[in-house]
Amino acid sequence: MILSVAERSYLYESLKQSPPIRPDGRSVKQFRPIQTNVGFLESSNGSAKITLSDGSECIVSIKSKVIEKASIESGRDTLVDVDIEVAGQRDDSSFILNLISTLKSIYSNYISQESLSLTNRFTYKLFIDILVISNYSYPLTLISFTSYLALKNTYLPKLTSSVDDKEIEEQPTFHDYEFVKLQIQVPIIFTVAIIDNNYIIDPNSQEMEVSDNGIIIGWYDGNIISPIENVKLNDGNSKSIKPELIIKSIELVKSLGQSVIESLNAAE
Amino acid sequence: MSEQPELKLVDFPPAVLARISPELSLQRHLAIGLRPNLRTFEEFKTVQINDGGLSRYSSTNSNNESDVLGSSILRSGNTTVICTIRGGIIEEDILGENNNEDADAVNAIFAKDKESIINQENLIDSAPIYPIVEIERGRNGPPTDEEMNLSQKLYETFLHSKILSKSSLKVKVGLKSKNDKNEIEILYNDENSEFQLGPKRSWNYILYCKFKIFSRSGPLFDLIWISLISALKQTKLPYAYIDENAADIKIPIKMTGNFGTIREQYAITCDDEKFNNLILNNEEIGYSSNFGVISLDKNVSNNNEEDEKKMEIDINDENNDSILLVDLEGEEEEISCKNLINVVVDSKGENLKSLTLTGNIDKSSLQKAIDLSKKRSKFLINQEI
Amino acid sequence: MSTLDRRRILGPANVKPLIFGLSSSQSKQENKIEEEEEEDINSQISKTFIKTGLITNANGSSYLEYNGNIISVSIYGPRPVRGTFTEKTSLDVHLDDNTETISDLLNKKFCNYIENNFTTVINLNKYPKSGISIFINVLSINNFQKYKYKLLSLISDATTIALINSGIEIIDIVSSTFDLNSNTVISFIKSNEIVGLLSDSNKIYKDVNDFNKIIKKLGNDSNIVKNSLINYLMSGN
Repeated sequence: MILSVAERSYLYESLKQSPPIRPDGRSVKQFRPIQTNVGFLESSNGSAKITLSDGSECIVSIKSKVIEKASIESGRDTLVDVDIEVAGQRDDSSFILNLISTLKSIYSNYISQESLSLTNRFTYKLFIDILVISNYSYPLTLISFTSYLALKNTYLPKLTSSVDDKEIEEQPTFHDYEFVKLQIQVPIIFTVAIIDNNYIIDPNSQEMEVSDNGIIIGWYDGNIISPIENVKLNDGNSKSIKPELIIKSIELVKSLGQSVIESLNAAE
Repeated sequence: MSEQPELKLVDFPPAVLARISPELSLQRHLAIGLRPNLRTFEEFKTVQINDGGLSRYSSTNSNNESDVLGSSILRSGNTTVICTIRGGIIEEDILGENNNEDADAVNAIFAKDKESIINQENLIDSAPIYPIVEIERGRNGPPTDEEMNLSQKLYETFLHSKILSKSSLKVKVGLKSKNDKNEIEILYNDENSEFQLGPKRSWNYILYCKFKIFSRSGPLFDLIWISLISALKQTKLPYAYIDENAADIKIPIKMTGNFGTIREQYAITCDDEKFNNLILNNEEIGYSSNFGVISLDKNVSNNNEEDEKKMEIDINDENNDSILLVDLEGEEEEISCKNLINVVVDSKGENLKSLTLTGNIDKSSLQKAIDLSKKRSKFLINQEI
Repeated sequence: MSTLDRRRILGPANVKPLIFGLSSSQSKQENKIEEEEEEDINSQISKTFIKTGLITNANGSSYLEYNGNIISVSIYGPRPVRGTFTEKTSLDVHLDDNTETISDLLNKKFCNYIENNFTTVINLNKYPKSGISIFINVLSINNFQKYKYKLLSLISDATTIALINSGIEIIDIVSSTFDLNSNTVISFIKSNEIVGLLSDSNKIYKDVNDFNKIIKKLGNDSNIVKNSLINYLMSGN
């Protein structure tokens, strides 16, 4: 978004106030309203869509495949694969690759092996395909919320063959139509924008444009986790951050996480 | 009548003149018997080289996890060439006659000229290396013409120089297994000659070399060649073994395709510690030199005649207007010299391994260039770089 | 890299890479020494070798060696860019890994980190309609799996030195430090203000103060790094 000098300075000055005055009247820790939709893709194991008030829209589809556990141990395969497509971005741009690498590392750390395990030799592998149709602000939070919903509403085929296939080699077989809901805890990621001495959660595009810097913070089960990183929210306005602000942002995320999870769960 | 406007002479400092009129600048330098880089016409640039410590076998390297088998770092003037040698393993194609009992009968019909095949094999006993040359110039993207030309020339010159024979790249495969006492040990052919594994299989090493060049200041082939030879001299090949457990032969059969394929797959692992030196055919190793032939511009020389009469005489001694410059360097020489010679000789200086001529070169210059490159190569060999 | 690359001589297609067997026990002990040393920033600095201006056809360059890691950074620019007028410099970062150990994703992540760091620090408005390119060459890496972000902090320091060598205006010296335990790298300017932050481990911060401690510790270390960088620059090398 291109802002004129006057707009920019007006926005910056109002966000600098204590408490900051945000252009859409939100408080520091208030998210934009979201509209959710789950389980609408028949052909995938789990799906979710979130539409933000500014028109940003993200669709996530979860698919699964049975793989040998040995291939994960030997490093040839991973338990989770993430693919992201953002409208208007090349899929080899550093923006996309950075999103993928962040999500891959958080999901492979926090989606437990046990939850996907099938038998002694086989396990499910999850493919998380993310499509951001329109996007006006930094999409990571939107993506992680949508993936959260999709993963929480994923149904995998029910195993009918024996779990213990250590002695007898057996291909796993599945029930014809029964599914089991995937029981996992999913981490989510928050974006915080830093403006002067203020920090605001879930910045919209105008706020991003005038912000001094941005931080992404992971949250899982009531605690703060990696990634804790700074991100570029605009082109070339970035300034250094005071360490206190990072700590304050982390505290804010820690206190907010649970209520966000509760409202996301309510959407199911 | 009004006066003619007077043209003012503009003076340029040497550096500026070199930029805007490289030919003139070079001619003026040559007229006083000097080159812009202050070397004499037949003076080569000095070369410093060491192993760089990038290889896993290098004594100065604290990093023994790298997969680099040999390396060298060369400095000549400001130019730095970093050469790293890596390897791969390829399974050799098995000739039908070794594999198949009916081969003789088949060959009698389809390969009547069996002898000629064998002759060819002798010719191609020389093993190639696969070079990638990267010259840093602050741009990204596909390789430039110069990089591609250098790689190709290096590949061909090396292959035809017969410096490396195929036999020295053979992998002598060992077997890792449990012995009677249930201890894991690795058997190698040289220690235990009875042991043999599937007689019909053999593997070869493949060598890749990658060059990274900083601060290019002139033609690069000579420097790349030196750094390649030096890195190859340092190169070690690891022992390799087949893990008895891992080798329990998988037979994947493609059901969907038209043909089922049965193929044994061996996972070859390289020994962490044991290695052999890479054997090179030392007598084939010579070095490369480049030359430029440039004709003197009489006009430039005449301008300076009064001050530089002595020099003028020196050059005329050769009864020839063209000058042979060795080891071109710098923008002026590269732009102005369109007649180029590149010579690669062997260790004794008797045979030429490669000779490239570009442009209009007279016989005497060529003879002189070859003589000089023999001397140069001998000098480099004696230096033992 | 595509196997159908006709611009490079790639050799036969069915080649398998060399896989080395597991290292023997001796390296474990070395690891311990390294971990202890990781805590002692002064001894690390004394083992670091820096040289500037080695690459003559770049506008600025630096060469850094520490404990088996060798990094060379060259800066090209400010140089004119094609296209429409831009009022600020555009900064682009390329990382070339000569050792073939850094994955593409991590490569981009490293580039992104360096770019974020230095867009904050370079006086971009001073060089309109031009571009600055940072080329990072990683020539050797020691124990990448464990110390990848250590490498990133070294790259960041080398880039600072190269930028100073190039004479491009920056608002302050960026000094980066690394914490092994939390796998965190932070880049500081001025008196402990942060321009770059990257933490990627499976550590769970039950107490926010834990992270505060990491920032404090790295902040102190960074001051030592910064002082030694200044000392190096003042010594006129």
